[in-house]
Amino acid sequence: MKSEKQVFACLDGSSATYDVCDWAIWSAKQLNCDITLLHVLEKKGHDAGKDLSGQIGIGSREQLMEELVALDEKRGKLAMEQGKIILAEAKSYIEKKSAAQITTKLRHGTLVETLSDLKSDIQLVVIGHMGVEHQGGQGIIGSQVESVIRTLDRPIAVTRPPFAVPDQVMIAFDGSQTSYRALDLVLRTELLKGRSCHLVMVGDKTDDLEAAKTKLENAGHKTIASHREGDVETELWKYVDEHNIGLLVMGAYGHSRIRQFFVGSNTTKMLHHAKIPLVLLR
Amino acid sequence: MLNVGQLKSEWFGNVRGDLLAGLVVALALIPEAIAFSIIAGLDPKIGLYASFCIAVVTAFAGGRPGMISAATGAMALLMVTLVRDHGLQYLLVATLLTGVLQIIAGFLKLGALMRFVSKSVVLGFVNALAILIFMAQLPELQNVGWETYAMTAAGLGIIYLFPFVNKIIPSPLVCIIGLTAVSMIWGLDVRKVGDMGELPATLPFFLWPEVPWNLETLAIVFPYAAGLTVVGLLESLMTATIVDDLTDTPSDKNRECKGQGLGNIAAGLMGGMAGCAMIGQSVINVKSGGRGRLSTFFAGVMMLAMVVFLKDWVSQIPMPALVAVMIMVSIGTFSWDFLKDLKKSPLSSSCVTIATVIVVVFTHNLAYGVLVGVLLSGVFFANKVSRLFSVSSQLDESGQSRAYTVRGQVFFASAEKFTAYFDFKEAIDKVSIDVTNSHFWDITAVGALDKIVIKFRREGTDVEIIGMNEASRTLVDQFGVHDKPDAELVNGH
Repeated sequence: MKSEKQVFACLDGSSATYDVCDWAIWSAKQLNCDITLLHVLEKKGHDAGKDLSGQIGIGSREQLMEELVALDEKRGKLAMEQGKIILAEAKSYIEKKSAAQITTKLRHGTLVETLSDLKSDIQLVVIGHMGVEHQGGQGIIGSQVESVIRTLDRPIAVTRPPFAVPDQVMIAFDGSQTSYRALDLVLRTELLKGRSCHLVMVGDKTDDLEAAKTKLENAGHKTIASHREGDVETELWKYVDEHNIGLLVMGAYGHSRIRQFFVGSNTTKMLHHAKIPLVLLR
Repeated sequence: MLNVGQLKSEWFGNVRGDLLAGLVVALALIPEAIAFSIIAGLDPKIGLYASFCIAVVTAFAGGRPGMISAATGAMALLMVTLVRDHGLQYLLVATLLTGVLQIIAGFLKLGALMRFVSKSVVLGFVNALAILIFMAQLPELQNVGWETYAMTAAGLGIIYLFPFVNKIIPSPLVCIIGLTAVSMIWGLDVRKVGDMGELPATLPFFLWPEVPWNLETLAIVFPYAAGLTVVGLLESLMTATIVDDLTDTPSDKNRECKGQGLGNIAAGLMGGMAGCAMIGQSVINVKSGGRGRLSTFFAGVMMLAMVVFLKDWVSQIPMPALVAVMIMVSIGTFSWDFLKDLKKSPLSSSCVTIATVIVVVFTHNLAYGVLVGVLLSGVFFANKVSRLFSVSSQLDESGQSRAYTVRGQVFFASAEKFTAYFDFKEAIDKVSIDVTNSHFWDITAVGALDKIVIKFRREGTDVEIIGMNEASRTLVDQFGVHDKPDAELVNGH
């Protein structure tokens, strides 16, 4: 049976659009659900006033209102047209590759606001690691992405072009309560079925690693457990390179080292360093 | 939730526009702050200090970026008698208390009460404010020489005609500089700002009001503080709504209440009078391209800087120039659409607006006007809803039973009409009253139903009530008599 919840692909017309689409196709297949393409029209930019006369006369307020409405109207129509084109293009792209039902949603507001409003319909949010505003600026993670990660309590996939089906998946593990909970989330999601899981622990080795491995194996995941010494961040990235990892899986819960590592104050830095897509489960 | 990104965009999302608009507003604030101090019977420096403190504090603490708050006419008018009878120190205490009350209002989320202030009342408020500002200029135009009239007329001419020539230089500024130059060169016999009281020579400094801190003082200032609180919040929230509409962005009304409170506390501690948001200035700000908090902040800072550094020049500004600017403000504040739409809008709405204006003009207190306006809107609304009500009835074939069907709202305003529908003279065995499609709102309505049921019973008619919906039933259960044993007693007589 198909899930009623949907994979939400957030599109903004940046170069990452097709990458996000491919990700949506793959994850919708894994999760057996349909796809919603979302484009949010954010209100931005102010036209600096041209009238500095500092004068108000009869009906000034009404007249000013008229002017501002007319201005916004023109801008709004243009943005809406553009949004429709982005969504239509993405839809036709996905239709060629996937059998999933595709809904398109064009909304006003901010991305974070819109996603929170639609929260109950969301199975997974797929979002490019940086938005159209940041194009060209290397190594900057979109501020949008960051606030979505911080505020939305739904699973989120942050993509990085180019797209490749992730066969090798890495799960960072530190033996803490929260990392067990993250593991539970991995067990519960359909997203990772059929992937090889690399369970990686950095720091003091404990029996937890073996226990976690057994847990994953019992759930039918092909699992490779590995232990490293050294700096968490460096070691994790090193492992990614060595084993051709295509996806990083995180459970975002509480305030464990690992959570802080990603969702805490280091978020920007971490996502910035990531060269591969990552999924935050919740 | 405090969000760094949001904070950044509220402050620095529109730097160029905000700075330019802030400058325009600063220039427009100077004459207003001076004029409003004079209205309140204070030295110009009191209003200028207040405008600086309130503008700067609300820039940080307010809930509506881009709105301009400073010393205002609405507030100045409320403090006239306090200043006259008790002096400045008591005004400072009243200002502090106003701030505290406004912060409390913010925490109690009283901003939500604004929904009871209808559009008609807002129109009345705005128009009454415009009329008051205009009337406050009249003393400046009485018992004066022809020079004053000529200069005022020339000032108005400059303000309204100069923008046709140039939209970059604020026309009120041109008016003030031009008239000041003229009056200085020819040494015209007109009053000057310097004649009206002391101008600020320094930046404001901390000043603890010198009053006996006892209950007597509280008793003196409290009524004033209460009025200032209400009027300040009303004007601020109305202005916030106007800015919301103009810029199509939301604002946090409860935060605005707290921001106004903090602004007034700052003003009170720095030797300034109480103030609130300004409709005219906020419109000027938006019109000049101001959108962010920076515009409000910059306006406050620039205003004071200009006054302190140009003190000698400011004191030379002739009063007719200020009067011209203030007449412009009152014309710009007045909602002319109200007059235009007078014929089209419903009579009751127009009545509310006009009643609000009349009460304000006679009491010089906007709070009373709003109170009357809100009450009147309530009465008119009750009256309208009471018409959403009908009773129909049908006699059955046997002629011994009548079915009444009640539709609509039964409450204090419609209860009498409700009772009048029933025919107690008709001698029949049974009456059924179907209230499925009606709603009993209050104890008057329930009392009316009781009366009907009991009256029928006393005539020897059985009564059945059908379809009392849940909400009505609770009310009847709580207050009704007819379905309780006592009713039988009455029946038994």
